[in-house]
Amino acid sequence: MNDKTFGGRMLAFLASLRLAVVTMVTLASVCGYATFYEMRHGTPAVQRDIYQTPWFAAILGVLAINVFSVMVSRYRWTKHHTGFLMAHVGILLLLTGSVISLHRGLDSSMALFEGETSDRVALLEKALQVSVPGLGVNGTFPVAFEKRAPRPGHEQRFPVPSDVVLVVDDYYPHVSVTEGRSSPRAPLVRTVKPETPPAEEERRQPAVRLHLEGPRGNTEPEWVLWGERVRVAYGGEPVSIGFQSPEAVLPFKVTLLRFNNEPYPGSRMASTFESTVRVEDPEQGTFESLISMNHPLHHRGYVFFQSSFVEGRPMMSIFSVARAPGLPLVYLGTTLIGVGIVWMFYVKPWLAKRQAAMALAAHRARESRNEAKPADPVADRV
Amino acid sequence: MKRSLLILSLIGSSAPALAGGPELEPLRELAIQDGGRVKPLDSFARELARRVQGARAFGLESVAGLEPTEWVLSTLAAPDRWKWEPIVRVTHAGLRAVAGLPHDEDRYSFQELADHRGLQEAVGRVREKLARNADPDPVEREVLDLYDTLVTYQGVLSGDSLHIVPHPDDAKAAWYSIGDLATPQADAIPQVQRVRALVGALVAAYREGDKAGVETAASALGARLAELAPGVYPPKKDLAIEVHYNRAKPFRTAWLLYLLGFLALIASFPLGSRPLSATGLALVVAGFLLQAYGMALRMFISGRPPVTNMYESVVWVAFGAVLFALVFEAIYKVRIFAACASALAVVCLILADNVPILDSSISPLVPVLRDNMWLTVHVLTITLGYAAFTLAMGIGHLNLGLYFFRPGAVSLFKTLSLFLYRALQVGTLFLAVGTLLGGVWASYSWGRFWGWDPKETWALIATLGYLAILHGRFVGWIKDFGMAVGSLLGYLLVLMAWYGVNFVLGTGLHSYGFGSGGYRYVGGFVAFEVMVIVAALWRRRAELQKHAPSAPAPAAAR
Repeated sequence: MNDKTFGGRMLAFLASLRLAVVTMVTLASVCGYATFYEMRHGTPAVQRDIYQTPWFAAILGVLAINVFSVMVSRYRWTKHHTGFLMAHVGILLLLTGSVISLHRGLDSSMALFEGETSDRVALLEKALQVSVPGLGVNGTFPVAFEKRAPRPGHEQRFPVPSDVVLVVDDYYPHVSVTEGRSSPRAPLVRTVKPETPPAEEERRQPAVRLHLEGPRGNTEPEWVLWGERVRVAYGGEPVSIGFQSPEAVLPFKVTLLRFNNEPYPGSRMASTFESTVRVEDPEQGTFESLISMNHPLHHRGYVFFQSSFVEGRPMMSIFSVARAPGLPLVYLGTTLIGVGIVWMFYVKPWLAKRQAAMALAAHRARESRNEAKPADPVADRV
Repeated sequence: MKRSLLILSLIGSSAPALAGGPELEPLRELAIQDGGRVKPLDSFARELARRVQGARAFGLESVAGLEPTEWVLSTLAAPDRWKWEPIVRVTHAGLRAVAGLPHDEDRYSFQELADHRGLQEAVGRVREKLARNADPDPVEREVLDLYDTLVTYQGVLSGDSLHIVPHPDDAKAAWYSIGDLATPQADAIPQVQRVRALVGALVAAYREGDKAGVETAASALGARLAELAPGVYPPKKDLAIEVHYNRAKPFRTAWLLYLLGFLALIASFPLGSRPLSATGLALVVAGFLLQAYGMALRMFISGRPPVTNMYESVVWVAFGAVLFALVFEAIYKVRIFAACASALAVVCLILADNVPILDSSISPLVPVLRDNMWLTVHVLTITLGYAAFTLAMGIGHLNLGLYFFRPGAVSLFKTLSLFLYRALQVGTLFLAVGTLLGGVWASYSWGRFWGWDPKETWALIATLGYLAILHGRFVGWIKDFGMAVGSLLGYLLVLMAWYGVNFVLGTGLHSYGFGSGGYRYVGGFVAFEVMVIVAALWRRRAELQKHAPSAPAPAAAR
């Protein structure tokens, strides 16, 4: 590339191998660090602090730009570029498909008792939800208190429609709860006490203290535990406030008919766990399906897979429910990368060798004709 | 003092050894339900011997001079003797310290450990911790392990762990143990009197040293039990095959053949002897075929693909390295691949036999690993990538060896570098495709293609490392020397993905493969590799500086 214009030099830089290697090494190093970070702080922390940050996306973005630029810089492509193009287009498709799944997809879970029916799934993030049925007011606010915690003096305010504000004035990452009465007749009082959080976030019990502010006055501050929904009265109206995962509604209903966990004969080691479910879809009818490890239920782009269960009577089965609309692109990308690598490593050299052999044969044939020429007057005439 | 007296008196009364003769064969092939699987008593006895005595050199399994099956029979015949026999090996120094076990010995008797206050307290502490849902640290895991071993051993002494009587019609039910035969619940077993009598006859014959009696009683017992539960008792042929696998130890013979092949090939290079070279190659091929046979047996016994745990992955990597080497030999006919791969295979298979974390027993799979095509395909593909990189690493060492000790061998260095490149290509292809196939499995089984799980992430990191090397070579940044160093560096990433995620990080969705231990082996290897890499780079720098005045440095540095 001899283009000395700014654009040309820019392209040369973006398409450079130097950038590629720097990006690959950076990505590899960050990922390596991330796995150790995960060991110390747990999976939710590494997802939040590294993999799902804008700067991590930026590294992948640079990789995509680099891959794209290198293809552009090699234009006009010849058949020698076949493998190179396949592998690199494959990477772009893979990244594009992942972005689509990230933004348009769904990552959630559904917990059902035997006999229970639901069309709701819980998303994986945390949110505060406020609803005032009397006023027809609803609000859901995604929160990340692990990152930026509210403290007295640093309250976080979430305006609910109709002038009411939900104010969060304190947060503990892990609490213990005790209930008791000061005297036998006194009302039951709940005490929320901060504790040292365990290293893994999955084992923590966070809690927020919140109240409502608005033209009709303020409510009393109240502790709400993660996963909990409380009822308060605001200006005579009942209000429900939840610190829970936001929910999404599926276009069909799922009923858990049976849950089965079977140990290997004569041991307590689980050999399989499986759920029989009934799916009621207003558009596609009702059917039953068996979901077990490695045998998920695929329905209308949603995948239900057996994730875990809670022992008891009735048993509770927990499904992960995912939708990844970018998957076809990802699969296409995967295929192209695989074929592209094989092409670059093995098909291209083989083709080159064959071409060289053919050229050599043609050359020999020409030479032998040339040598034969003077001795062959007939050929000359032809 | 008191203990040794007791042992002496018991030995006097115990039965003479049968020296592992053929009369034990029907007993070896007796089916027993254990650890969620039905297996021949032979497998049970060998696994128990390994657990009780710890891993021993070259997979030796005899206990106090008795072959494992006979040992189990002997514990039935003379439980009081075996309670006091110092055969339980506790090598972990941290475990001995925590339990306050005497430091001057590493073998204890069952009773000594069971009565040991320090150990009881240590177990109590760990159980308390488990009840709090906290994770045990490596020493505490050892404590639990030892406790489990003692419980199992106690079960053998009492007969309660010996579940040899099948449920008459339910294939999924728990089997009755020898201990159960004495209890009222055994009355549910048809012809229980007959079974009791046969077990009694077996033990009595052994006590008397009556070889023929042992054989008759054991085969009658086997036939009777098979008759009792026709749909439940495994076919005799299957049991015999597993006993054959246990006894033949195909992987051990395979590494012996590899070793001989390697020596013949190494000798053939300086001698320039064609017959020797052909012999070497033939030995390597023989080892390869034997290993394939062993793996086929293992697949038949376990009824699943060949890579489901760390032990099998090490065996598979040895297999893959030799496989690729033989393919390359078919193309290049240089014998260097075969020599290199056979040496690596010897190391892998010896490690598989001797390192405690590599458990060769066949145990059932956790649900997520069962019956899925994509799972099988992606694991086999990735581990074939590991195998090719292992081969590349071997050639890389050869090349650096030339670099240090035979700097004059320029053309050999060039040739080897081409081979190294070929091995790196194969590895990159398999690792990249395997990682993506892992995504396909994850997408099918977990609902997402990629989730930055540590195992996935390290596979990606290793792929990126090798891609950086291949790209660098493509534009000429990296030449032959760089590739040799790169093959060592990259292999450290492979080790992290292969071993490190399971044994160092121990977090993420691939938790079914997690464990602890082996740090000294892997740490030692990593330290050695880092030293080699640093030394090579050091020398390279010195060389470049020496040549710098005559040649333009930047060009040479590339």
